[in-house]
Amino acid sequence: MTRRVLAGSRALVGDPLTAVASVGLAVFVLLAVFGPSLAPHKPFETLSDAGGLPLRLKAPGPGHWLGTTTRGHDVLSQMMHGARIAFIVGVMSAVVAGLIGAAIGLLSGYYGRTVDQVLMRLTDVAFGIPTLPFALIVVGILGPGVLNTIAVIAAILWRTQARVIRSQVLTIKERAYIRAARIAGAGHGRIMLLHIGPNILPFLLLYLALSVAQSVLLEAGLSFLGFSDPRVITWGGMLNAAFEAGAVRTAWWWVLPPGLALSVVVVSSFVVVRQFEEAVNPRLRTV
Amino acid sequence: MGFVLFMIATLMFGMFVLLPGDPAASFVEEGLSRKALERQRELWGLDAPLHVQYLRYLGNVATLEFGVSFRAQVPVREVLVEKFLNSIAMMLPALILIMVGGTVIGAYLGWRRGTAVEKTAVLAGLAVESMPSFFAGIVMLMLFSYGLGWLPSSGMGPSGSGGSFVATVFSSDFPRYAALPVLTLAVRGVNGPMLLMRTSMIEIRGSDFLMLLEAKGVSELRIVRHAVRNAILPMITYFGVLIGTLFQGQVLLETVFGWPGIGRAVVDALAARDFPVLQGAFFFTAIVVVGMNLVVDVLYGYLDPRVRVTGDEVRA
Amino acid sequence: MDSHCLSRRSFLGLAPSILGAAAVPTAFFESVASAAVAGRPVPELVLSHQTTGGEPEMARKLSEDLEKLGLRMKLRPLSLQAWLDAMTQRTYGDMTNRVKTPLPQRIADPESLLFETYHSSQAQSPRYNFGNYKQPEFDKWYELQAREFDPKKRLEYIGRAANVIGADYFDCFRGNGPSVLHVYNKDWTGGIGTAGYGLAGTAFNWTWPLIRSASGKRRVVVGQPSMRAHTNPFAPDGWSYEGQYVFDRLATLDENLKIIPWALESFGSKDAVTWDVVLRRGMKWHDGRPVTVDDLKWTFDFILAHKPSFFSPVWDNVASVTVTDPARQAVRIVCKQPYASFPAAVLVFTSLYPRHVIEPMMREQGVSKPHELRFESRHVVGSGFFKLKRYTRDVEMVYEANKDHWFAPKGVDELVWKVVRTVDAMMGQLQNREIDFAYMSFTPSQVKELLKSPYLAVKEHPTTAAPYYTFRIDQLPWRDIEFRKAFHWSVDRNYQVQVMWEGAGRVVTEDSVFVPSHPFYTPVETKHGYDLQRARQILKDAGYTWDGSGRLVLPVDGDPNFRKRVNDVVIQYPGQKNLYAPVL
Repeated sequence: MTRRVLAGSRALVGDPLTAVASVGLAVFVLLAVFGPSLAPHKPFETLSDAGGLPLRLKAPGPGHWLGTTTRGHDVLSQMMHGARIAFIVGVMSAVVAGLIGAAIGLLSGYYGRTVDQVLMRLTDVAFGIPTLPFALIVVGILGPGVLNTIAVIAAILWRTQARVIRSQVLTIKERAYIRAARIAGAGHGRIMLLHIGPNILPFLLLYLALSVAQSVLLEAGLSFLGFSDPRVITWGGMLNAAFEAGAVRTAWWWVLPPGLALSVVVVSSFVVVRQFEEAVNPRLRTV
Repeated sequence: MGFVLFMIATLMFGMFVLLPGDPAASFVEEGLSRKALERQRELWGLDAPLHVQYLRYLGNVATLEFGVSFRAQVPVREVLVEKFLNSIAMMLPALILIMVGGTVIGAYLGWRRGTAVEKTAVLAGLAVESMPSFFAGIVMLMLFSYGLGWLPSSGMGPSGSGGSFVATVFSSDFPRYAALPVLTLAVRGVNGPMLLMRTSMIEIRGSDFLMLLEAKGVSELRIVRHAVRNAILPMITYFGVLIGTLFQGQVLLETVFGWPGIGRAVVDALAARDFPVLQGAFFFTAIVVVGMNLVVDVLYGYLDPRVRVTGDEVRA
Repeated sequence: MDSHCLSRRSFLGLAPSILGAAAVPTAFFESVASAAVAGRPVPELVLSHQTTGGEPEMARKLSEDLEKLGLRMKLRPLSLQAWLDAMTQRTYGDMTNRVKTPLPQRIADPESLLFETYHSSQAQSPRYNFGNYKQPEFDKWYELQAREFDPKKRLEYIGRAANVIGADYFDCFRGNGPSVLHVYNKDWTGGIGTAGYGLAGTAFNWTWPLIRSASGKRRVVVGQPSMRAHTNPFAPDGWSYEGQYVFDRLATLDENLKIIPWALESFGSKDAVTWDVVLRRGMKWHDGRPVTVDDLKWTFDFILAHKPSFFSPVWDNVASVTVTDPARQAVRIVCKQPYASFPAAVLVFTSLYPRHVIEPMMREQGVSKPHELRFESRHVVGSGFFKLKRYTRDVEMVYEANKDHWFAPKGVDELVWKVVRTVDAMMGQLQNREIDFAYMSFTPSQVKELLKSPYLAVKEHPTTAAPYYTFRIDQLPWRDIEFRKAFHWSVDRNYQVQVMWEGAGRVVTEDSVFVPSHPFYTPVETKHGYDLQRARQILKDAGYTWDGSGRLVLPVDGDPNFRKRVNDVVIQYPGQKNLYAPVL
């Protein structure tokens, strides 16, 4: 298994497209870590001209390299600050969703019967819930905020993980060494964690990586509809502000950067995940 | 399926109970007396004990009658039919484009595997699908509506066309108004089935049965037809999932394109705390999604596990 | 409400303790705000705000400034319904934004502005004195003006009342604005706008019956971001604004917001409680039947009998309605108490309704309350200068000119209200001439962009809107006037006007309920501005301190000035014990 993961990482460097995508992701991570301290301005600082009037809707130029918003805020600085929230929400929701999904999938696949029935019906319920409206209602209950957004997204995304992990567990648990371990008297917990766990880890990581992209998109969608904390700048929130201000027609410098940033993060992770997936699941390599 | 729907219905009830905000609250602005306020709540059944409200709600669910919309003051059924139809007017053309386009392009790419065209197409598909839908919509607007001025930016038709649904959809103006939302949906949606079809084609191409045909000297076109016929099966399950997804309403795209569909209706109902409409819309959506999942489950045997990666239904 | 032990709200433990001085939990999942205690840091302040009109940005700016003073802030963005609920239930936390925009039908009536928001009788859930402000001095001046028929004296009393609020540092006003900037196609001329509502409004608007197109068009299309979800004029969220084109009001406001008789020939008061009105002659319903004095009498009776919630408050004061002279079409209304605002609150508030349509509707639909009626387009029969032709929910509303009306539209045969949801689309449709007017106020930068199209023009009207922050004056730290004073010096009104409104508004230096363009405006003597240094000094002088981490700490228990400010100044009302429970 470790070998497969290693092979996966090696494959990331091999393919030029994947290399570009990896660079994209690396830039994203760097921005998330250092962006806020490197940004020339605070995200909500109103830039003024010599006469003290706000620099409103200025096209890119010196001092504001990606232009300004209707409120004189610097788009570049907002972009750099926004990376951190996208990263935190993306990774945290994916991890939480992954853990919930893995636990449910593992228990369901391993125990089978009633446990499986109950947990899988639960998963069916989760699949039957319309994603975005559900998220909007939950945010309506909890109130907006980074933690609540993470909770909402995790509450939606775990279902896919649960199903995939379960089907993996179903095939793994019939293997000879698992049976051997059982006959040797290993407890359920031990078998699940030590024998099955490592085998599903690559799949878990794969889906985790995939749900980072999905979380980023969902968070952006929620922010775009205005369901975010006004004190925290997000890329979706930037697009919401531009849209609400009716600036889409003129201020391309305000619309394109956050939108493209979102797209690049998502497409990069898709590309990387694909490569990783091929390494993890050699069957796909024939395709 | 019944159990799942019951659970979804119960979950939703719980969420609506927890949701802060009283639909009668907005009437206080007009100087409504406290008595009148309570009368209004009584009229809407919000004064009843919670378990009575729950039973009443389950009754609604069982009979698919969700009462009268607080906001529009007409039966919920009418609001839902109106909004779902509007959404379908946008979804159906997109669905057809996605199905036909995905199948044709995917089959072509699978057949021409390894060429520059194939690589570019796969990459382009991925890139477009990675754009958040609302951003894709905004870019479409920037290009074709605000930039080139070719297509209208909002709504389902010009002023004065707002007669019946049929009149709106079959008017000669409708294609122009529907073009951008439908294209945005289709361009982003086509990637999944395209990749799926491509994979199926590649697999079938490598199968013994095609080699046999080839050896027999059957023409390429006929072989392709055979291959397509076999590759198309997984597509059907994919479309089951897709219909379920689309039926949730495209809240974001409906917002961007000012389309009066079910997605916007849910957001508006949420803002107004119009519980009957929310309950109805949620439940009908759930029926479709669960129903489509059931179809997918039935056909699960045909569905390649890796489809789940590209065909996951979560898309913002 | 208390009797339903399992009702939705009380189940959640949200039942508000009416008049409770203790902090009320702000939402189900939020920890209960810890009460402020003397000598301890000020607890985290909760600011609830709406999600529209730039409120999130203002809330962000305010919390940034207050944090500089050593306060901790929590923001709660709420959609309209949730916000109204939080306000009426007093679960909004410490403070909230509000906009004072006089309702169109009440603009000439100080009641809704003063009574509803500041009178002590309204200082309880679900009333609209959201801060639970109780000030006998204010009540006194308010009640004097309500009974005063002499306009000059009345104005003086209103001014006194406004000054009491100002001196108390209650309700922190942020500015007057934004100015109403309506953009329209120059092809249409002759429109007249009103202050606060602009050129293309739906309320008290003289544009639609007066405009003409230079190119001879007879159909005018108006874009609006959203529309009403039904056409029932009796519903609580009534079809009141657009409806007045269809249902003639008894009196209305001219372009200067002065009250003029409309469906009446005349109205006047015989004495302080008796009002005589005379119905206009020769009016017809849209179905051709004549409007009779019986219809007028029936309209009064119908409203008195059903008190559709929309009308109820003003009608509580009406004792009787009688036809005094059928030939002259004269009706007499007798009030229970003298009521100086009668024309504004009752006559401008009331439309004529057709008995021959409404009564059969009630029977056929089997409903007992008019606001449950279902109005199809064919049911919308009024006497106004427009007839409703077609209503398509969330899409458009089409009106047809009523040629038989004495004020029939001159240049328009058809008026279309079209829903254009997004700002960009609204601007685009103005520019490509899909719409002629937009019922939406643009910002100066949007106007600049729009005016690049040579055939578009802009018309500016002063605003009647005055956004402000209100707070729970019955709770610490707000009970301390020095804290309120410091808060007043921490609100960046220039940011509101210069950044948010792009300069299209007025920076205020006083807390006035009325904007200067309002007929009841009086200057308020207590002035303030934005100066965080000064705010800090006020707090310091009042005995506030800062702890090691820079957090603001309330004065200590033994501070006699603090004790006096918080406990003794507030007068208790008879029979209302523990209104301001001692907290020290």
